[in-house]
Amino acid sequence: MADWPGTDKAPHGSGNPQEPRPSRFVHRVLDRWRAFRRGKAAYLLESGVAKAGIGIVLFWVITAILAPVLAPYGPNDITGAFKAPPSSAHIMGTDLLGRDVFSRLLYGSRPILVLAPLSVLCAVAAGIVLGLASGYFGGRVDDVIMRLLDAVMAFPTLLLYMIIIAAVGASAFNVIVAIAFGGTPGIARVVRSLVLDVRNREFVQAARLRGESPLYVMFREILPNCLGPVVVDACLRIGYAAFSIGTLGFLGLGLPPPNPDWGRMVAEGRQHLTTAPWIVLFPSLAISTLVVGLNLFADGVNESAHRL
Amino acid sequence: MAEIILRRFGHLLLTMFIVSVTVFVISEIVPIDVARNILGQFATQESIDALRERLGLNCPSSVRYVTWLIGDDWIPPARDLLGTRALPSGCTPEGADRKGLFRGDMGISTVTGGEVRPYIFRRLRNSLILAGTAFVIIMPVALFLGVLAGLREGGILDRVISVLSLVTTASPSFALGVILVVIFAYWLDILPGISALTDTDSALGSPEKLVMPIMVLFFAEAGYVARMTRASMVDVMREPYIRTAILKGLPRWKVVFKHALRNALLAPITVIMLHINWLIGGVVVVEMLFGYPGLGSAILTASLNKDLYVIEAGALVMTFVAVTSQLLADLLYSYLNPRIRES
Repeated sequence: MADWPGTDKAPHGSGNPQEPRPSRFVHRVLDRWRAFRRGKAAYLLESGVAKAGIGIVLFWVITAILAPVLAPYGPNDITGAFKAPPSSAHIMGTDLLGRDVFSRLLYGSRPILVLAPLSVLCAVAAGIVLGLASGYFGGRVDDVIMRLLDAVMAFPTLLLYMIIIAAVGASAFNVIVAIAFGGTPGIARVVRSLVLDVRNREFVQAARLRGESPLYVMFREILPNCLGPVVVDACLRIGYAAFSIGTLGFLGLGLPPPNPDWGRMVAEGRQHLTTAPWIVLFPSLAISTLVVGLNLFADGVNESAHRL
Repeated sequence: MAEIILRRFGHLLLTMFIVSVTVFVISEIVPIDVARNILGQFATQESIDALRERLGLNCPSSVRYVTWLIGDDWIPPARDLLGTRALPSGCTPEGADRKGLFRGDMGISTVTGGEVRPYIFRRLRNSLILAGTAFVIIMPVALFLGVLAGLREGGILDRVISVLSLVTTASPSFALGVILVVIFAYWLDILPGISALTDTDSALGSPEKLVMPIMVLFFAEAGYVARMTRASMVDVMREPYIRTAILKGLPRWKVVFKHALRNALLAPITVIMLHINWLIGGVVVVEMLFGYPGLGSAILTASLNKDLYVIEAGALVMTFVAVTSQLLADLLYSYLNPRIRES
């Protein structure tokens, strides 16, 4: 853009001391995004790690979709004796109330696969608004927003979740709110650094000079140029969101009973670990594989992007 | 340097202020009948009213926040001195005897009626014993594994360590814990699966109860540190000065110990300190999993019971630990990194 004829501004990034220098992180994210665009989906599958990750995640997505077909019983039906060990009727045994662990496990993949992306989406929306405002207006606004976000970040995330959910009660909506709240500062920081990179470009100045409102400039001129890296960054956060949802369920802060929720299944069976380990073992393996899958995928993508 | 420390200390106070206000505000969103909580379902209305009056629950939350900070034992004398109109009346609890947070009084638990401070500090001590022991064991091992993996990038050892640490780091610690308990407490039956302690016990008195929690923390944390160390080590081993050292014929151990390690360990050490927030989260989960009476499980129980002052005190103590460790990380980094130290 700096090469356009007729622009008498100094080219971007050269000699202008006011120009904020984009950080190494921004470059890394931008590189990742460009690589993603260039190679499209095929390059995602280039690394074996990413392939394994995609495989595991797809497995759970299909399980979630087909849960009613695959599950031999309803998730909350009492179908056998209490704490019955695995048998041909109940391949993963039954839980404390005589519900089929296998069926609950299948249905339990649904909430986590819906809530994780949704909460990341909310965090991205909030992070974009805060990051745009912070980066675009600068000065006082920037100071206040960044201090507040720093305060949230300094706070141990899990403690944050516990307090929010304990105050507003455990429900799917509140889980989303808590996780979005915890994820917002990180995303806002990424957006802010991207905005600092973009906001002094000529097209933004042009929009400003022709009298567009700050809202228009932020959302129509700056945002589209920052969105790519933000999307990639958000994908990497889904694994962490799934991790958190499982942990919240385990701490009794997830979906209220009797919803099948992997974390809660483990929490309920914890007392009976030595007499009926199957109640807790299988949900634990399920959440581990899902989160590991999401992370392998993110990691593989990340590495491929670095190599390109 | 002193200026930086002062400024960071200011940030710490600001953060703790924001945290304390936030907790108060959040707990105001949901009205909870604390008095009924304490007295139980069958209490008469009069006794509930009396208790509400005594606990000062009829005051607006802003007044309660301020009295929580500066106490209320000064109100009756002040009223005698200045007359009743000078100070807000009607919501001063009858037995105005709290000293307030600034004078080290964390209030009383609205669930048990006991003093918060000894409770919180007993729990903090337990958590510090657990987290501290885990930290001391995890870090050297993780650093060692990371260096080992980073020495030969792409080698078999590197692959095994990398994949293992990726898998253990990504798994939620409760799931990891369950799997380990099933193996060690159920199948092998060599370790206790529960780490409950009585109020007076110290965790140091029964170290076997710490083994499983530390093992879970090890698997949850070590992978992360090992990965960071590996990445840093790989970067350093590619530097031209390492090639120079190898080509001029130095023995390999000398290249690694004298040239590579110093630079390679710089990044992981800060990351470790910044990772303490994460460790705190892991400790909460592990405490819940094993029924270990630490600070995290205290806050969680308090949150579930809406025990406001315990949540407040616990949150502040935890934030203090987290922010202070970050401050220490920064100082350590600027001490270790000569480029920053000089400027």
